[in-house]
Amino acid sequence: MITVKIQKEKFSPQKILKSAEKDKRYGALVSFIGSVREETNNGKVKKLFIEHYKNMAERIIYKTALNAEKKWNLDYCYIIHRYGTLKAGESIVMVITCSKHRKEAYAANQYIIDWLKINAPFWKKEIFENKSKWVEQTL
Amino acid sequence: MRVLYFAKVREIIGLPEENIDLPSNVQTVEDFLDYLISKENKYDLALSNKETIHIACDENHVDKDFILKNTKEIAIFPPVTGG
Repeated sequence: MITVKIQKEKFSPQKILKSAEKDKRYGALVSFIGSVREETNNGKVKKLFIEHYKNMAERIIYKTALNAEKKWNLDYCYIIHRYGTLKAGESIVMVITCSKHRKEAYAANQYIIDWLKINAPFWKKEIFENKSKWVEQTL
Repeated sequence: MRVLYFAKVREIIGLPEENIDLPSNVQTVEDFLDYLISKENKYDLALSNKETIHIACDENHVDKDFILKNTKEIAIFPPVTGG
């Protein structure tokens, strides 16, 4: 089963994890959370603005999850990504992958987040006290 | 054709989107970028460093030699930085 959510609202990784844990089909669950850092090379981050290309982002993430599901025989895959204005410490993205054994869940999780970072149309802008700066791609 | 701009490209051009009729001599993405660059200074500023410009046609990533003939929507943007 695949769930993809792209939303402006804050989400609680704990709640999502708790709900994923209810499913007893799998033996391994891997969860990745990406958050807004308080400090980057450019200074203390006040806010992070995330712009996205809605339809394309949804399609690319869903397709990536589908590929991962097939390749690693996943039982469950949940991906959530935020857009809009986020504060330092808030979660940006969460990827949960579940499978019978840990190797598949780990590999699929890394594949999804790596692929998302290169292909999904989101752009981050760091907002500091007196300036702002678009983040450059780091792979 | 519907043309969408994102992130830094959107800020420099000053528009999130616009409709542009393709001139007859424009066949590929590369031709289209050259056409925009020659149109106005703001496009030149936003797009002249073509290596840093990425393109999606009808929501699919494409290369600069992609033929635009049947494209309804083109998106122009810097490298993505999600995740």
